[in-house]
Amino acid sequence: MKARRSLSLGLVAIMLFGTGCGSATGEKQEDERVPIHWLTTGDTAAEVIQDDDRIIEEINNRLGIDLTVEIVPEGSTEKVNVAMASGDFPDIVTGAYGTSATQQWIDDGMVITLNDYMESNSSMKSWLEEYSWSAQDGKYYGLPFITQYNVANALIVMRQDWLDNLGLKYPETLEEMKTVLNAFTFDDPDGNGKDDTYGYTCEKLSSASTTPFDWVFFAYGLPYADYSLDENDNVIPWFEDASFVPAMKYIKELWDSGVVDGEFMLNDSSKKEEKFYQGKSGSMLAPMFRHVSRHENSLQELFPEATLAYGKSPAGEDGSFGLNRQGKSGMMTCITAACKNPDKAAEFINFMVSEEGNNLLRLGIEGIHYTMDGDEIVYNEEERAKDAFSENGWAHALAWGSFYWPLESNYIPETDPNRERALETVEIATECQVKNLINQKTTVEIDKASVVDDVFVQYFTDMLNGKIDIEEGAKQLSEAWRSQGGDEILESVNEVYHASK
Amino acid sequence: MKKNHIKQSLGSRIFNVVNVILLAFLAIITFYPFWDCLVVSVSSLKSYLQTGIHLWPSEWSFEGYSYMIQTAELWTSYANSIFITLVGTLVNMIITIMAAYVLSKKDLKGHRILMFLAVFTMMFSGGIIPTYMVVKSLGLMNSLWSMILPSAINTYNLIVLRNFFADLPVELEEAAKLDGCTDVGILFKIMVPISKPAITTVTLFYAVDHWNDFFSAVMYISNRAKWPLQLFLRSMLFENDAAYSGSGESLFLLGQPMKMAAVMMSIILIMCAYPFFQKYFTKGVMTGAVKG
Repeated sequence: MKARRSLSLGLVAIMLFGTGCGSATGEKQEDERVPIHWLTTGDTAAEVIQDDDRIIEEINNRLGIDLTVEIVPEGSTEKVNVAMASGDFPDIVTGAYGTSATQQWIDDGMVITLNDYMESNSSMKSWLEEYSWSAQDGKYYGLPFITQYNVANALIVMRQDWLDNLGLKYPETLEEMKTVLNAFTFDDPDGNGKDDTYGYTCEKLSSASTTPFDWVFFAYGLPYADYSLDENDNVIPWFEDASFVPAMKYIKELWDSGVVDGEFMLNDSSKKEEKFYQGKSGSMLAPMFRHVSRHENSLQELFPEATLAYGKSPAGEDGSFGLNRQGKSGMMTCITAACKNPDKAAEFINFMVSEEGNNLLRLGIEGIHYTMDGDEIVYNEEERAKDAFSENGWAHALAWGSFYWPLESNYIPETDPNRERALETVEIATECQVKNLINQKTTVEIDKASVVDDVFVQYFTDMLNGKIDIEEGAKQLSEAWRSQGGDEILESVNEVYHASK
Repeated sequence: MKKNHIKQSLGSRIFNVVNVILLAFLAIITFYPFWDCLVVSVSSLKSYLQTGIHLWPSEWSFEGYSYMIQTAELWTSYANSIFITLVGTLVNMIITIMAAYVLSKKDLKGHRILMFLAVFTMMFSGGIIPTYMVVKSLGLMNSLWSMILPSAINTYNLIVLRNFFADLPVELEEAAKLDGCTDVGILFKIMVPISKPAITTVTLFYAVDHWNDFFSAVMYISNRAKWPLQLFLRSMLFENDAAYSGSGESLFLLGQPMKMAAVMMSIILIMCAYPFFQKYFTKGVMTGAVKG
């Protein structure tokens, strides 16, 4: 009995202690400092921010605030949405742009308009003006950060050593591409005497907004990334464009001749990369930039002599080419209606998108985290490690995720040995980027996206497998897409398109 | 077996052979994914890429494990997970046993209504937002207790135990009462000891749920010092995928072996504990069989 009693006493003690802990994590009130609580998805891969982080301290001192950053695990926008829906408002919130949840924040007045704060915050103003189309009835509700808006990183990367063995060069046209992929498949590019290679691998097709064969559609003249226009200047889905059928025939020809990875519909990104590293596939569609060295080093694990080849995506007969679709989604940072001091909140956001803020978050404090040797930046890794900076000259934990990614900022530490090549791949990939016709997603589009995507994937696969003829398939795809929500999408998109003219 | 004089018929011998082959095949396809995972986790990337089917590492490497063992966060998250599992299961069991026992009494007034209220939550749960609000208003945000208290009773487990208690002979209780045992005494001295198989099973259900719990941590715990193991390991895999820091540095070259090492780390503890519980499972089945 005694033992049991002390056990239950212990339990009660633990419970009290536990709940006590929960409520004790709080905002310490400092005199005249304005507490700002920022809830964001942030950057999952970043270092942990400790309580005594000097960068946060510096921001607090410069702006006269007391900043609490809450970074949700896993970049889970769902957690942000739940917190907002439960009425658990931070002062500043960063959620997913262009989703029904964030639209709800706007519709229900959970976030405030930023127009009044633009004049006094010039960096925020110029940010919003760059995204001027994001305003609803002239009102800005948040700072959108669209990923891959002006920049891209994916390229078709090939085995340079295979090209050399076959006496070929990186293909510049669709015809050359076909020749190269055929040679990769049938001419024993690795010289092992076995028929164990194929030409091209990629990730599975999961939506209509990006396909693993976008380079074919653009080479056949698809003019925009998201939609196309008919002769009456009305918006139509991109697969009703005249380029679709001939492009599909080209893809089908590649597929039928067996130069495409027969199991590409099962690939995720690491499976795809594996097939390239294993010497099964001669080329893959993959992100480059910071990954260039990773691709090359992984490939050289098995083939020490192998090197990478990359270039612009192959062009069609009339010279048109393209590979990367301009981004349409990303994050949005808003000030909530519950914020007691929106002036300070706006000032903080302004700081985060200003050059001053960028320098602080990427380089640190001069004299502590880095020093200048003439024009050259010398990182003090030891000091940087004490605060939430990543290794090797990478930025502070707050630098990425909400307003920037390294790709969008063209940021690679100057000390990085592969910097030149990484930036070169971005330049080429951006050249292959195709712009959107309509910048924003309409609410109808957000609602219906998953249904109409499924329709596309279904018909695409059927056409590829020959279950349905391509001309017939394209027609049926349009009908099915339109009847299952596409018509409503087109209506809303046409409205936006014509209003913007 | 040697002196078995009854000769087996051809039919039953064929049956045996087919049985063994079929079951062995099933055993292999169940076991192989685990084996593959184990082998890959101790292979170098090179040896992983070289072979399609991984039966034995052609080149050993413990880089994945050594990288993770050196990470301080692994140990704090391990401790958090162990705390959640042990304390959480204890809380679960105390509350569930007491509730189940009371609800198993047919003469309890309103037991139907109480049971209905419990079952109702199983059919129509409030969903994530109300739960979030409860956790928030109890001040449990960023506390490990947020992963323990809101789900202290799992209705399904409650029903399992209640039915088990209800099937126990009422005479046992009467005898104990005649000998002067209190109600609480009857529960803990008589009922709980003879319900060991059922209780162990439910304990294991709870423990595995706590160990694998991931979603509630995402929802309620932002402070990385309080992350459970599952969350930490997942974030690590993501980091690995994101190829975040130095381009082409060693960590990212570990690739799949590193991921598999993470998977192994997360299951190893539960796997070690499992055999100790397993005997109760068989016992549980047999108890029922004899009683009929």
